[in-house]
Amino acid sequence: MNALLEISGLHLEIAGPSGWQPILRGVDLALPAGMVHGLVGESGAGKTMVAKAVLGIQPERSRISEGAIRFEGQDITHLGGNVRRALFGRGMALIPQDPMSALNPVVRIETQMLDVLRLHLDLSRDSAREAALRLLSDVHIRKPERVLRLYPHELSGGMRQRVLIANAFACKPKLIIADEPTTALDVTVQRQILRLIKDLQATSNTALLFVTHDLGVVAKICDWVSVLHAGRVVESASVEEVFRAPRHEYTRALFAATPRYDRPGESLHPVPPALIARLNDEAAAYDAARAGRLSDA
Amino acid sequence: MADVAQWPAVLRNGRALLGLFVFLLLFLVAAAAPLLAPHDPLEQDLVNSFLPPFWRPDADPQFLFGTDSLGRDIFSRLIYGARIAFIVAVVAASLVCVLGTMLGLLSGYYGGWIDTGISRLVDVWMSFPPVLLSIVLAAVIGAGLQAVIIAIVVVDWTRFCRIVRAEVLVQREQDYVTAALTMGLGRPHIMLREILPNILPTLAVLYSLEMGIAIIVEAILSFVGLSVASDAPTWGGLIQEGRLYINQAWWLLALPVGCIIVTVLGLNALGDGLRESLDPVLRR
Repeated sequence: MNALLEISGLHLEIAGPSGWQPILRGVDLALPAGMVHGLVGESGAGKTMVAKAVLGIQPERSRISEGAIRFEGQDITHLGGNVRRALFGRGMALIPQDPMSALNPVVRIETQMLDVLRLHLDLSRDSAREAALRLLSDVHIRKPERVLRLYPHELSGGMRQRVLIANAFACKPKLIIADEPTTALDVTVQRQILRLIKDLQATSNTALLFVTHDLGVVAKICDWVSVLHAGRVVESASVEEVFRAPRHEYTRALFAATPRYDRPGESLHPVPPALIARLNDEAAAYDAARAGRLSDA
Repeated sequence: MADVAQWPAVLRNGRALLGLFVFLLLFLVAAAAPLLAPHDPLEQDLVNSFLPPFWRPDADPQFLFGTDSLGRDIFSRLIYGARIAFIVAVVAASLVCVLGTMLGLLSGYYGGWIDTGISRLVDVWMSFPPVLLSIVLAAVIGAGLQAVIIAIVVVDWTRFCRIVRAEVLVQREQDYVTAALTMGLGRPHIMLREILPNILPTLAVLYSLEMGIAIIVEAILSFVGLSVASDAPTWGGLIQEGRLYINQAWWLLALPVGCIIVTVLGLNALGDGLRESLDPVLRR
């Protein structure tokens, strides 16, 4: 299959006090153009790190020791500098996790939007401004002229996330990475933002890598889902399949731990500690086997 | 600074207001020196030397603060001294600000060997006694206003560089910088248009403090005769001349010292006031 984004056997390690600490242990993932791929897992599973590695913004004290990330067939695993920069905008874009801190606090919205538009689309000031106004109304901001003149602190969290979404879709990228775009928002706003992202994705036919820990969100907007634990993909299947008959025990445990509004009164089950312990043992065994394999080579 | 809502806070701060007042006064006196000064500051009148200031019974009302050993009007010389002080303060502080900020931005944002190089240079630089270094520099470059300004810039850029570097290290980890990276914005853009606006409050504080320092250094250099031409009226030069007659006419020394103290205190108050009103932590 010729996917837009293809991650194969990705190993990422972070420098810790006792040497390189594995974070991703051979992640495989394929995302065809125009599809929505959900990446779920608990905190620390490495889902955000996958997103960062794709964007090339992983922490400084980390390394990709094995595996490859391909975007449109091009190996972008270790890409940096100007070549990497050329990917952004029309190639890929990010909807960040925290809209409160992802906009520059001392720069007007207008400047922040126009800078991006003019950089990638080579527009004049006036046509960039028009494009920005159109983008803002696309994300259902009612008074775009007014919003352009404001500073981020004058907008609510939901409004800021809309601005960031507008910015992500601004240059019609082929891939958008959404890193838990709704976790910093309150529940009523979450719904609107999710719907908005889904609508824009569908109309523009952009591929979306959606990082979340919320299975309900996955059900709403994803086509395909990968479940991540301790840096390994434990299950990857279409959303219907996973929701109808999850194969992996961990996925089933995640479902049991999710509140169901359609079945009130049913108790929530935490993921069994024994299962976590077993998965962690598996991860440790994997590390040991890999260390052995690397020292043999 | 860029935030309109912060302006009233600055104007509500007593110290900032006081400092702003002193700075504006210095500017007005410097700009209007020819209009304000009753006499030519260089005009000698040996018949009228050592005239006493106004509070003495035998004072000449024509010479408010009396005259010096060559019969030059002290009041006019102080006014023209303000002109030199103002020029040195603004030009030197601006150049120091530009140079130090540029190096600090590069050092903090790029890191790596650039940071190591610039930081070690700052360490070495700061291990020289600053006054000695500026005296040596002024002596090597030669006397004159440019020499004084160059000496101040060469000595003082380290202060800006260090603080800006530390600020940049904090800012570059912020989410908005990462977001800018993923929008494909280049490093120069991120340094100058994303990070720089966020450290403007710090720069404003440093700038006003630097103006006070520049005035003191200029006074030191004129005191040792390394500033502008020796008969030109500088506050440091006036102190140096007044020192010789301290037993007969103490005010020859006290008046220029007073000018320097008031100006530098005012500029420091401006710096402190700006810091109080622009720093979100202190403002709370």
